[in-house]
Amino acid sequence: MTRPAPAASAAAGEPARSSRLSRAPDRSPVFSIFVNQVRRLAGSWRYHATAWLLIATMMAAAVTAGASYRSTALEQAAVMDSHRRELAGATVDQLAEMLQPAIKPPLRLTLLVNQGQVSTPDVYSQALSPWIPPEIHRTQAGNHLLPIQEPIDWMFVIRVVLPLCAFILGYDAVCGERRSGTLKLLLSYPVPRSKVLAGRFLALWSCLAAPLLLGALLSLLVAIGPSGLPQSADDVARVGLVVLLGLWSTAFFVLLALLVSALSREDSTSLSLLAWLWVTAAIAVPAMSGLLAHRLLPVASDGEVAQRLEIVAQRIAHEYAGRAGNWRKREWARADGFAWERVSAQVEERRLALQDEIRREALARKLAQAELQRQIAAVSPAPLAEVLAELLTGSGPQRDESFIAQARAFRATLAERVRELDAVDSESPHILFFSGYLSQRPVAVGALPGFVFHERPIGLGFAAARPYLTAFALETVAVVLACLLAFAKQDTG
Amino acid sequence: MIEAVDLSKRYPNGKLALDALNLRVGPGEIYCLLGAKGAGKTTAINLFLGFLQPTAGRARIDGIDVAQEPLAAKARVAYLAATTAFYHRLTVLQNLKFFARLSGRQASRHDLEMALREVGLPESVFNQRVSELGPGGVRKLGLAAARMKGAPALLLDEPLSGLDPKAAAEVVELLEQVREQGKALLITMQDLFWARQLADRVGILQEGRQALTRTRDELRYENLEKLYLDYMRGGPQPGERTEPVRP
Repeated sequence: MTRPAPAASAAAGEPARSSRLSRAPDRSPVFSIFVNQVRRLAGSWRYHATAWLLIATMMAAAVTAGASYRSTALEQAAVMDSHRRELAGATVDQLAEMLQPAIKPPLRLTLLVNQGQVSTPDVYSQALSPWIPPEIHRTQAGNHLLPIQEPIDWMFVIRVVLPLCAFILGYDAVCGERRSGTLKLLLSYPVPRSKVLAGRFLALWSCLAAPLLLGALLSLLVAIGPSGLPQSADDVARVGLVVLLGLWSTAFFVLLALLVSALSREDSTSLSLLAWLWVTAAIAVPAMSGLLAHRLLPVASDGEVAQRLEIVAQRIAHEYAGRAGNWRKREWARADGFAWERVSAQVEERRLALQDEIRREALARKLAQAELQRQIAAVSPAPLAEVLAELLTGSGPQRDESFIAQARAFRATLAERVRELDAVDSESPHILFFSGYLSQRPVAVGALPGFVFHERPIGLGFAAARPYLTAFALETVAVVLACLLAFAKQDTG
Repeated sequence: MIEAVDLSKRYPNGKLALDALNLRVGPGEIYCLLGAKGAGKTTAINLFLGFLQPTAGRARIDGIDVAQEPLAAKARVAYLAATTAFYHRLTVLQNLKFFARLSGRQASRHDLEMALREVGLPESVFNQRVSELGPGGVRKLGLAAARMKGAPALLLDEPLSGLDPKAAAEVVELLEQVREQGKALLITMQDLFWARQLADRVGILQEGRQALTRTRDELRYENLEKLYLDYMRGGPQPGERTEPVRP
């Protein structure tokens, strides 16, 4: 049973003042504790340091993302220009052995999470002739002599900088107050501990959320303005999702700091534990995840793949010995209706199909390894947030997988168009796809379709992110409960 | 009213910190609980504040069982200790306003300033950070906060510890004023001089046991210092009642 507060008995003792003082029914203790904590934090140098660090890194992300986007777009435009020049005046016959580049455009949301997208191949060049193997490469190779640099994007801020800031601000939120003696005084007031914790949490969260949101806003303005990142309505929705993810991560790391602070007796113990957690969560786990994924799911080296391709070629050559590899001059072959050449073409197509299968397997394994690396890294909440952001923005290995699939499908579209162009020439032997056995007519400008990369729809990202979202939600609930329990059992000192 | 009925606390490590404490502090009364370090004084205060759960007995504030209704009990008790600190980055007024709000009171700046004046803090410190106050100033601010709370009972854990004689005398004077306002005060201390000066009733704790209690009248005929030292030296057995010597 809860009894009314002793206003009457107090007034008896202090008639002069108590008559003037009134109850404050509209002001929740959570709000009072929140305001008190914000006021204290706002006046501290460490808050200014962490806030500026957050804003500065987000601005750096905008500048580097903008620069990276522009230079990649320029490099890709150069590749396409070169291809257009090659196409000008080419005959249908020449198209057969000409490499047709499919280009993965730079990620518009590279500012948010460009994980992998600045280093993975963005050009898939393929010819219609089975003699020409496909080439996959990166337009902007950069200087290989430089060490591998971690991209600075919003997720770098959320994964690395934000937990650091939360830990710096919150390490003494409970144990520091116990040491100083304010906690005991605070808890001597009729305020439930859960409300004290809620006030603390809201204050720390707001103090970090404010610079995070300000940094995000400034970063977007820089990215849209001088850096020139195009932003569509769909992009805005994805930006909103990543901002929400950032705010959620802020809450998680603040709760973690409060939990460790509540469990520690000394400020130094809390700080050491949080430093250990930060190194583990933000640095060690992501680093170890790559090594573990490599160990658990090894991928074939380029040499091994080349060896397997060679074995296939030898097997086909052996299988069709004496029946394939006969390519005569067009005038001579015409006499028997290109009989040998047709068989040879079938053999080459079969070899190409088998070799393509090997390449596809090798690539699928690499993608699976990348997926596994992310699954292992997601054990830690910091990389988990990054994996979520990748899925929600359509970045990461899924985008590369989608690109390769779309590029391969483009070959079929291209082949169909070339067959159509060739079919109208009665002089052509219509043997695809070897130079010398197709129409000699020139190809009109714009006659060939161009490759257009389609980003993954946001709905697919949500579906893929669901298990990770569930995991993050469960982790958050677990930390909230642990926090409440630790604070309820907190020794006041 | 502050009341302990066979109040006991045994820690998980087996140590009996408080053994069947019985006391009753009525309105307008000061009870000084004396004892050496580790005698169980702070444990008793923590039990009254609900920070510890008793292993036996009852702690009551204004008739409310602290273990049963800790929040209702806390609303009726103010607390101040030698170790009590305020938020050193905030000013004196900001601190007082915060704690007034926590006790559910809407205090104007005028009310806050008046409360600070009443405890003898000069106006020049109102807008100073608490970190700039000396121990006496912090203790006075604590008393102002306790008075703002308007609780009928006060628990004070070593309120004079670490104060110079002048500051201690000022705090004692303030405590006497609080008593005159009809509050019940339970004060733990080691300073026998001030205990004799302040207390309406004195209790000595020895290793968690209530070794002796005396009223102000009884102490007129006895030497508190001698009694205390006897108990500290292990003289009379704990729990053994020694009758005061009357003329």
